[in-house]
Amino acid sequence: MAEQETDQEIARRAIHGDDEAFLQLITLNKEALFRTALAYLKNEDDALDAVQEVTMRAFEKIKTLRMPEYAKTWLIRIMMNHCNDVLQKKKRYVFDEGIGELKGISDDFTYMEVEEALSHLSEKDRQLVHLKYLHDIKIKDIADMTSTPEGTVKTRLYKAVKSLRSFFDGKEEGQLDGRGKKIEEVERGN
Amino acid sequence: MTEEERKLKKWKEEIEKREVPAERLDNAIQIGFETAKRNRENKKRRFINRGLWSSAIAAILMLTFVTSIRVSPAFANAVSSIPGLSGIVELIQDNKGIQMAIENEHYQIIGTTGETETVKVTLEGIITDESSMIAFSTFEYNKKHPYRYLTGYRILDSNRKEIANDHSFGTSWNQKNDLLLTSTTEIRFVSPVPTEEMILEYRFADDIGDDQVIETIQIPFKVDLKPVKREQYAVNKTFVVEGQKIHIHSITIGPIKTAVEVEYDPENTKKIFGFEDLRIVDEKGEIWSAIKNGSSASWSEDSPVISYFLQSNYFRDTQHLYLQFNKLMAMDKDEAELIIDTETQKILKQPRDERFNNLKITGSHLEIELKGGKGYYHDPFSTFYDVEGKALSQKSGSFYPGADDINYFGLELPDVEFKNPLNFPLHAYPSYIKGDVKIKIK
Repeated sequence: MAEQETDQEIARRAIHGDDEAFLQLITLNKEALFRTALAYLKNEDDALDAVQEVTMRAFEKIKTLRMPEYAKTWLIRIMMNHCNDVLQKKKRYVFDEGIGELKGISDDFTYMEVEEALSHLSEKDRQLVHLKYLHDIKIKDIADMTSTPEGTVKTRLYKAVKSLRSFFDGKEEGQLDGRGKKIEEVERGN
Repeated sequence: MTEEERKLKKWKEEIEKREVPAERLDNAIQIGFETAKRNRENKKRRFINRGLWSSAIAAILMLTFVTSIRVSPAFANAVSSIPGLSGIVELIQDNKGIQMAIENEHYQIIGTTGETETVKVTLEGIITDESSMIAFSTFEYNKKHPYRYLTGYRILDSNRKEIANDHSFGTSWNQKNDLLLTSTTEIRFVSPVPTEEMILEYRFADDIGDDQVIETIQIPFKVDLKPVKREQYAVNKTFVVEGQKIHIHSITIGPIKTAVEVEYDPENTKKIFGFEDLRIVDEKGEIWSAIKNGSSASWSEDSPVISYFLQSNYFRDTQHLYLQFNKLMAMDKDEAELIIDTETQKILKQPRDERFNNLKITGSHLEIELKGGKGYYHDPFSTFYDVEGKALSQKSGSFYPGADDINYFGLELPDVEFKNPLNFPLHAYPSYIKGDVKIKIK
């Protein structure tokens, strides 16, 4: 508990324009930021670029953070939004380069399967799943942070997870686009 | 745990299993942090110093946005043959009129340098019209000394007596070397441009917004440019846009700029802040738009007539010219104010769509956010009033654009007593009226 208070204190100082505190705040959350970027962007170089960019953005916007207790969630959300922008831009040039680079992460397909399913969620839902299941952020905190009623967050999360199931089960195969079909090819290839 | 949750857990474990390149990660953070800090410093320098404006003349906006340089080959060619001008290109890249003046050799090279321990200044050259002059200067700071901030210019005759004028200036720091700076100043004389020797005085202060001049550099020069005659067109017509009457009096085209004299009808229900797209178009469809780097308008307190400045097409041969506009910044008169209480740090009244937010006051520094639209870079504030009607003016103001169209405005409250609440009549706001006006002027 004492530690949490310290984190909050650092965040508060950062909000009030203390540059060193800001650097500390980023450092405290660097792994969460990096892993978020990695989950979205799939490769280390892009993820590191994203961390650099988000450090800059966060520095510019830190004054707008109203609740120091949610600094971590705030940072992760900036990262997710940034990654989403990067992906949207990439999409215009490259159809899908992701799958190949995933090899070596795991011999199990679960990771890839989850990623593929997540990519079919709306960005909003995907962020929700990230916050809850990757960063273990409490539903109540997500609700506070996004000024959404807790019940609404719960329902949305429940629906998002449920729709993941339909992708896992392949029930919606008919609705999958080209990216969905790629999975089959990869699987056959192995 | 459901099947989905089991898979999500596994997904999380996979992500967490991956090694973090600790050193590269710290490095990325450090670079991001340093870059952001540097950007902030640069933004701070984009100050609008109000102390410079005389009470009679103010400018709507005087900011320098340094972007990539885009100029025509003809202009690039002209520039490469003129010493000292390359550093100034970025200051005039958005101004076709000035570029054409230079191409047409209506530019006088001066190239005289003056120096103190801290800074070396070169008056590179000048452009004139009948009664005003633009001076281009480059500055080189000495690293060993702290910065001196350019707070203004004075123009003196050979007896070192000040010649009456109004001036505005813009500066731009070199992106790669922050000891280098370029500046243009536009000096408007009360009478025709003197042809005798004059002295341009550069005035420096310790800090931005500080009026205490601690150092000056004087550079003598003499105008040799051929006198030019401005072309004047009387319009005297009234146009109606969304029920608001706009009187256009006249248009004057000179080598430095085109001035359009406009008056808004006092009976209008909306306060009109200005034109968004006032422009001159010739028979081939070529457009001369508003001046972006430099003063874009001037007005006097005892006249309702406002002069809006457009890029000059003086040096272009044209058959026909049209004045056109489609969009004006305007809002209902009763809405055009912001009322705040500095004690409680609360916004008491603002326009209905509530774009002002996050009022913060620290000591005498006030900061407020305004959600603009794309390309909204206008300062909404000028003179403000306390509850007893006492007029107050800010000591200095700052502005920087943030993410998501949020503009941050900062202003330094004056060291005088005032009574809350404070009323800030708005001078800009992202609210518009639209129409389609085309006036043949030639």
